[in-house]
Amino acid sequence: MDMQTEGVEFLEDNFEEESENEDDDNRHSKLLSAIANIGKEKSKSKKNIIPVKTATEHVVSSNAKAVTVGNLLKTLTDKALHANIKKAVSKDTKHFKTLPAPLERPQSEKIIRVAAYDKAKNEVGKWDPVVYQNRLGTAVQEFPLYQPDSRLIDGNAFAKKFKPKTPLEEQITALLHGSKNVMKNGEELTEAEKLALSSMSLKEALERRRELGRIRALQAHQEAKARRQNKIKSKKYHRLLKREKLKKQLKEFEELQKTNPGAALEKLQEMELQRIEERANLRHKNSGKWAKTQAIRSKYNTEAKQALSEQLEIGRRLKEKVKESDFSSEEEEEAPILFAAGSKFRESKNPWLVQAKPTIALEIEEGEDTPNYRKFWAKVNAEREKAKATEDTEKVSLSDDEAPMKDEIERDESSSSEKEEEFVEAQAEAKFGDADVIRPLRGDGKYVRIRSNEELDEQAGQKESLIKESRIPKTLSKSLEQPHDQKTGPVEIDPSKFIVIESKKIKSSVNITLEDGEDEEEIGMGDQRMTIAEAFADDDVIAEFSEEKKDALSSSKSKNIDLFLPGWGNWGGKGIKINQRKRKRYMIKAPPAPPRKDHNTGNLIINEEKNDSVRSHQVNKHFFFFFLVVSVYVSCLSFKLYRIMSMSNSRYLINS
Amino acid sequence: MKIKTLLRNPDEYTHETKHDIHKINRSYDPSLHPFEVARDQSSEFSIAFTVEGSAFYTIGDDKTIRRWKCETPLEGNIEEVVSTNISKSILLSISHHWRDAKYATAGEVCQIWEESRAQPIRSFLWGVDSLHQLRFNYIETNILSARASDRSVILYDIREKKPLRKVVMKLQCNALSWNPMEAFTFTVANEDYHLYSFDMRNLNAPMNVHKDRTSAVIDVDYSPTVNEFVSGSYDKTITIFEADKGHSRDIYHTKRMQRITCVLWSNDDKYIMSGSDEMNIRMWKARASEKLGIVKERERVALNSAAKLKEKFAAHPQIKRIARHRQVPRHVFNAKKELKAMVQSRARKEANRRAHSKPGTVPYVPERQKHVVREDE
Repeated sequence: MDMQTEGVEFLEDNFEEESENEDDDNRHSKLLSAIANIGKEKSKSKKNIIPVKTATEHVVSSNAKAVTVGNLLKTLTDKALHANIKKAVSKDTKHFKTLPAPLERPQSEKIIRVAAYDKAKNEVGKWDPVVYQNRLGTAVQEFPLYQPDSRLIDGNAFAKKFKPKTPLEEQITALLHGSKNVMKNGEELTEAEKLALSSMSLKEALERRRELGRIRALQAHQEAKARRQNKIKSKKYHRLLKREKLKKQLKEFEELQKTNPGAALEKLQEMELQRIEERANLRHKNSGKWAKTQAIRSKYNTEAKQALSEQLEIGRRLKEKVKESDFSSEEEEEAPILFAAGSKFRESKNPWLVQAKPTIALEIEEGEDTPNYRKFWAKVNAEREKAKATEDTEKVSLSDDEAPMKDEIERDESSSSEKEEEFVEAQAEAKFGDADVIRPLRGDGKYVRIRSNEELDEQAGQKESLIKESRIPKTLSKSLEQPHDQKTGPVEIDPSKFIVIESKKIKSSVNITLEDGEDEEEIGMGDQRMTIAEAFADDDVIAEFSEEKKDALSSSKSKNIDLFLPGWGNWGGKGIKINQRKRKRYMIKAPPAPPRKDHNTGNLIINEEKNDSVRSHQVNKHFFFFFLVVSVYVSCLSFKLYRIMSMSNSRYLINS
Repeated sequence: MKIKTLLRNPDEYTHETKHDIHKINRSYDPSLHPFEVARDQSSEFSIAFTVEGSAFYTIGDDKTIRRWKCETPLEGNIEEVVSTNISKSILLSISHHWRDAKYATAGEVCQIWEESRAQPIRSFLWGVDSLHQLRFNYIETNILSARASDRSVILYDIREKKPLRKVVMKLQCNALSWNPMEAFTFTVANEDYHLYSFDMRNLNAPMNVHKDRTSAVIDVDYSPTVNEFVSGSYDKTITIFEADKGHSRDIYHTKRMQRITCVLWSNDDKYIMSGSDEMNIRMWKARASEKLGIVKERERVALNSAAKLKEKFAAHPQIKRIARHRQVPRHVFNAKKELKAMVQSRARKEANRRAHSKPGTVPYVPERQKHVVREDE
């Protein structure tokens, strides 16, 4: 607006200057330019000529000349009165300015709207932090708004909350509150204890109190220990625990049969029950899913192999008959059958397990009055004692109530050659895993093994070789350590191809075998070794690997392209010799393959090819945009989803 | 024996010729027609509950605003209007203030009323034929928005004398909904198959364009808390969008459901209501796979960890594929295919034009700036 008014004034000035004649040239040129601009100025002045200061929205005529106060004053004459008026007016006009005209309605409304909008904008802008927090934060409010109570509740407060509801709970609380033996919080002694203490002398009371405290501390310690142990999740630990328990049971049984035969019998029955259960279920067999996978893995993984064999061993041990024979039929006329269990497993058919086999020789003897289990264990113990005796020449003292054992030892010490022969025979038979048939023949009730001649002939040779080492009590310890090299016959296995496996000695008092004895057949040792060699004949792992590597190397090379067409430009057909030089010309040689990383690593194949099957599972790289760096995303993924995390709020999570 | 029979004159029920008008005998005895009560025939368009929820207002095509009580009338009584206000102009929509005893009506003009007064306390006019819908902001309760017949959305503040601002879109908006979690965000359902989320402080371009529909979007409503909204479309489907995503989270459809006329997200965030052309109201679960009813602690933990796992591995292609896959009706599937072809062809044409003209003459226009014609101050 100001610009417009200035323009008007400038025009007026122009005309004033024209009327005065001062500088000719300048004026002339100005005049010319003014004349030239007349048309334009007119149109411009038409727009601008209205002094906007005076314009209102009601102004209709655009040509109306502005009337100023000065113009009006010009009409006044030079009278004193008029002079005063002039003065006053000119004084006032200096101080007062004309108000600007009100804007047109649309414009003014627009200004109001803009102002209001800015105000509203600022107002809603206050919510910015809340909104951005909601948008970015993981926690999105759920309905109904749920705020978990994060205060910790201590045990006492929790216990106070408890109120008995069921009749059982009510009974228990009644009992607890009624009893004098319940310790109350913040007190050292129960009521009953206090009562007891009050009826004692001071010294006694103090002692008693100390005693009680000690017992309580011990109890607490035991409880804590049990709680700690209960929490252990390691399978290995539990396996060991179980094994320990089993051993303990056996030991206990041994103890018991010395001291308390009745209890030992019970224990034995318990063990027998366990054995039956083990036989009935499939827990430690090689037919389960786990065992099958382990069997597959065991080809490459020694650990799996070991785990499997351990499991089988457990099964076997559990299945073993502790009660060796049923002598209940002794009174009857029938010849009792002595099932020398364990002994047959002692000699496994697996040549690799031979060395780790402990052998326990059993002398078969009779005991008329003693119970069966005692008889059996008496034998075992006697064996051990004997071994000790021969080594240390130490006299074994036995308690009086174990007379038969004593007798037995005495008899052993006398060791007639006949008896020894018998023993050895029995031992040898036992090694070959027969169910030995032993009948009481002599009057004194000694068992003598009866066998057919053919059988004896067949096994004669083997027996002889075994006789040398089968004075068992002497060699017991040795046989556990020494490998029986002389036994292993010629096996068809390439000595250069082998995988070193750390041999593990299984320390166990119980016999170990790898196969069930029931379906055993009499196969010669040599035959067995042969079959094993045959079984593993195909498993040439090293050769297989080298073959695989060769394939990998050759497949990574690009192949030459042969464009040679036989008969093209030459005579073709049968019996025509192809010119090799020509053939070579049509061969396009492939560029040499880039060097492989594994070209000089002997037992390693590095595959660097793209795998399309994996590709469809790979995360799109655009996704990493949010994470900026791939490693950040990867580390995010590697976080485990713990329960506590999953309980935190997520978009669709449910609140309790 | 005397047998009672109805005696009827055959002339009353037989035609002489086949062109005769069949006469129906009918008794007009009012005692025989208890349901035929004389009623107000004017239809009600829009409804708004008062703050305390004990009453509600309706507007009809007779320029009247009626207040009703929420309580069911005693037996035998007929629901009666508590009070009636008469407006000078036509009314099309009503919305009640969330805190005060005020409400706003839209029609020829936007009027603000106080519950205790018979005359509007304020009226806004900004050169528009008619305003179709009004919605009060949930958080800044004095701000309200209206969509108008000139393809525009207008913002008002009931404390001001004039409207705040107007944004004109390329096509008509069919519905409008404020985000209850964000004071300045609202979403409009547009005739051009898309939904647009606006930040009311920056109206020259939408904040987000939500695609995935294959026909005009008729209605939109926000979830009370989860920052999602549901939209009903003329393509007979209901689609749920996450407010910050351009594409839908889920699509609901059934064989018998026709064109959707309105959708509503329930206030407990569990359900979605939809009304459709075949005159049925349907209730849907807001999250289709969610278990309804009591969820025990263990189950809750299991579900939550499953959800968390899904979230964690969401970027994995196979998981993404499973999460995204939806079976849609054949017509929707085909329409989507067609739309995709159209979009691709337009893009191709633009690229060709750009390739064969002077550099800079064919500018790249971002998708968000394509849909707003102008912002009026």
